[in-house]
Amino acid sequence: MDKINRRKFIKSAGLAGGALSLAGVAGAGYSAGADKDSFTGYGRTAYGEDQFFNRKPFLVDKPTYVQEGEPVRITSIEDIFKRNGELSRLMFSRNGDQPAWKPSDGLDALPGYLRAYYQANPGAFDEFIKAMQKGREQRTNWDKYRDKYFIADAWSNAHSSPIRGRSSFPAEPQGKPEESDFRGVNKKRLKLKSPRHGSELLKKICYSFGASLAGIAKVKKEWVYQGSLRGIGRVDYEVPSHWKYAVVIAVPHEWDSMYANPTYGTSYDAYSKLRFIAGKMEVFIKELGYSARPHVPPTSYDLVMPPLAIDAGMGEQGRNGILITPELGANTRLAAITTDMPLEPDKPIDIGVSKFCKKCRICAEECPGGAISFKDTPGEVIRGYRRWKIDQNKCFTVWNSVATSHARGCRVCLSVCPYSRKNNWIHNFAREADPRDPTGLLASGLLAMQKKFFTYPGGQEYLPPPDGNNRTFGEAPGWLRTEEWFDL
Amino acid sequence: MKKRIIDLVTVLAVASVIIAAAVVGKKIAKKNDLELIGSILKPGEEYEAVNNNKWLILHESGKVKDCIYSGEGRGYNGNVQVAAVTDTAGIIMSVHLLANKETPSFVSKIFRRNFTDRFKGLPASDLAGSEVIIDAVAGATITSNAIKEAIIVGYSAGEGLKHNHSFKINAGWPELLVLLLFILSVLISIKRLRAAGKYLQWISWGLSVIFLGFVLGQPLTLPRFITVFTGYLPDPRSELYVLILPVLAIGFILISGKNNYCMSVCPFGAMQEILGAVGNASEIRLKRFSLVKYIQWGITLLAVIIALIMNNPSIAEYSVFGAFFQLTGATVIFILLMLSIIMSLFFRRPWCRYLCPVEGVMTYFRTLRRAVINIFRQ
Amino acid sequence: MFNNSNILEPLFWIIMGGLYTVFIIGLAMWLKDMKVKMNWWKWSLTLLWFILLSITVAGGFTLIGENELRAGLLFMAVPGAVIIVAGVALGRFLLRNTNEEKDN
Ligand code: SF4
Ligand code: SF4
Repeated sequence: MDKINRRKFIKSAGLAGGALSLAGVAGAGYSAGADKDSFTGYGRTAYGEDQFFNRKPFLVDKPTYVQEGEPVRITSIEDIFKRNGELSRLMFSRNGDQPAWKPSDGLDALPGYLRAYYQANPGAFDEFIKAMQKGREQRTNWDKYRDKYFIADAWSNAHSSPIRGRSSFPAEPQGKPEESDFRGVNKKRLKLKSPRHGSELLKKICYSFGASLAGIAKVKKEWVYQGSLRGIGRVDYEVPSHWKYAVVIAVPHEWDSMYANPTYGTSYDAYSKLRFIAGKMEVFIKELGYSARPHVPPTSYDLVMPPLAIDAGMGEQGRNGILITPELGANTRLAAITTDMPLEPDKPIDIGVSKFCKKCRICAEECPGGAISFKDTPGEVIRGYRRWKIDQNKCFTVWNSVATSHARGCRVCLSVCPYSRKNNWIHNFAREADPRDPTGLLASGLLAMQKKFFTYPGGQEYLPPPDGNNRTFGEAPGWLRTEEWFDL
Repeated sequence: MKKRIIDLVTVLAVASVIIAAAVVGKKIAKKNDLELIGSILKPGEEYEAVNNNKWLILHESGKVKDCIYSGEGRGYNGNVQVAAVTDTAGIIMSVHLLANKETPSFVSKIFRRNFTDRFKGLPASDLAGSEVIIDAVAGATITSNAIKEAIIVGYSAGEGLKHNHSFKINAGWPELLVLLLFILSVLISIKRLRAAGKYLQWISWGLSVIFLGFVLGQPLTLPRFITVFTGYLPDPRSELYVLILPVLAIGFILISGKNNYCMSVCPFGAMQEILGAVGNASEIRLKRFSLVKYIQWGITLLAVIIALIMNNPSIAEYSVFGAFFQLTGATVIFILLMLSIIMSLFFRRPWCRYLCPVEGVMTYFRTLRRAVINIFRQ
Repeated sequence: MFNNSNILEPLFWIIMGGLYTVFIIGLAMWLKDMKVKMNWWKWSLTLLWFILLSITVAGGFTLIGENELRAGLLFMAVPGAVIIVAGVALGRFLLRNTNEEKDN
């Protein structure tokens, strides 16, 4: 009797145990998904060992970008901010003078360096005019959206405050690099044990300053801008010989706001963070007795960042033109410090991003401006490298269209990329398994799940009415939603 | 005697209701082209019609600024009317959707996913030359092609060019597969083949699930019958087998009175049989079986009527086929699908018995056949 | 489960371990009472099935936790359906001989 009862009890307990254990894994899964600390780059400490992907198995000798023909340095006018800056200076009078140029004068009347660009890129000028028009609409419409994005805008402005104005940190270089990069360098230098020690130390210091990723690359001359140099102005120049190595650092945007792009997110959170890290690194390296020059966002760069970061083994280039790292996906923002301190460069990695992008195309479908190429394979040779073309002019038009107070960016292509995911077991499985699968079947399976299971609104939806519905990719976090904190 | 009359009355009543709905649907006015073209102009722009397919957008000075071409392309469940705006050199600048009878989810997917950007900057004439390959949006291939076709048609007609419709019918393995499945279905029903028939049956079900289901993903659904009924045929060049399928299915039932499609061709039917074999499913006999059947058929009829009145066949889609084979569909459909899958493990063909809209259509044709035969008998 | 607690998190997994033990002992009794003869590979199949089920549930809820409700539900539904079907097949396979005994 007693025995039978005990048997019965154990049997029902077994059933209950099975069911409870299932509930347990459900709970464990839910909390793993909801955990804010599983956002890579926001670990509990700056060192957060677990946030790093083990790159060793994927180190390669040559970076995964494809060189075709002679590399050409990028002229600064090819950068949209420099170009728009020059153009606006001509089109809008500063102190009541007649504008030097107006569209009806025709492109031929533009100064040579600008004319060359617009002639080589038909449609770019019309797109600029369209962006200006959209910008006007954006400012008029802002009244309608101000309340909804009240906190988001305040948050963004707070982040951009250290960037604006003269007193920004780090200070812009003044004068020739040969002078400014050495200004304040410690005369006393200790003997470095080896370049490898140098690299390790600098990376550790970067992390201690709050960098999520850091890597070291040799400076290749084709990554250096031509046609203008910070501290001097418009000038053609040879790459200074003391820009030997670059310490490249990356941080992500705050993840929840990043998923709620374009309207709730901002670029400035990562920008200001990077400026602090890079500025402090400049001082640190100079204290060690070596030259240093920070290159920081939004526009204070003398080098193009993504290829430099690829050389530094931080990731690969995506279809969206952004550096994709295993840890942060496309949610990476970059800065660098060039120095002549002897360092050991990192090796580039191949985790299969370029292969995956050929099949994926999600960012191209989700880009509100159609700025990202749909081509099967990287379709164009740009300055000696084969790559997907990003239409920066169209992208800029989107910045001027989405419901924000001013053109402060879109970043949808960062949010939607399947690589931009949390640091939890389910995404880590994909992260670790996909690059190890030579057949590509896992990648196809994951991509199919990505496209079928997840909700992708589609590019147009991110635009304000009438073109779209002001959608965001992910839901905005509570702390960015005005209606949760203020009476409307 | 009495049954005969009931058959006849039912057949006639259902037919007249459907025809009435179709007539009402057609009456609901179609927007005229000018209105549609007007909707894509920016405020203040003037336009001038050249012919039925071409319009000119004029500068204030009266000079021609841009051209608009509009044409129709055949989608999966209906036509899409599309306008392409080109500059004076014929370079496509933008593509707009004017009117749509195609499955709305396909079309909105395409437009939201920037598909039409793929045309921008291409010369419209090149497109007609079909030299250019435009990648379709995944999961909406036919609609993607329909949009391309619409631009080509609009441009060629607008310019008075002969558009070579290249009526080369592209029969391939899908068509052969459909034929094979129907031939198998006949062989299986031959009594003398008993043992071999059983093997053939499993081969047939396997083929159907894998190829007709998962690879092609377009089994017979209610909208297909409605489109065929309203005279809309999908482009036979792209997917001939989706035409063959309803024709053979109805043909068989009218000739032999046997529902070969459901019994052995339908991939979801086959899937239920396979699941049933896994779970050793049993037959169930509901007490109120006929009542449940009438509800099933009633829902189907209702869906047909609504679709006809709204002039949009694709809204009659409530089957789980898309959810099962292509993972598309609303959440409710997925719940229905899950239920059907789990039920199929224990009962034979629950979906076919109590929910499937296609079964209703088939039964209608079987009754029609019986009624006609009875008239001749008398 | 309790990501930021140093006490509850280990405790949770200890309890989970206990639940698994009870489950397996209970299952063994069920199978014995149903006269199912188990051996090492039948046990591994059964446990593998349970592990797959657990992973699917955990994966689905992870996605739900990431605010992707639809993705989470589909993640459970699609492999979930396969697992349920496999489970029924496995169950019938294990119970196969016992039914015959009853028939005799
Ligand atoms: S930032 Fe926005 S507009 Fe620019 S490329 Fe990315 S998705 Fe397109
Ligand atoms: S969204 Fe897809 S195609 Fe775009 S960068 Fe990311 S992986 Fe590549």
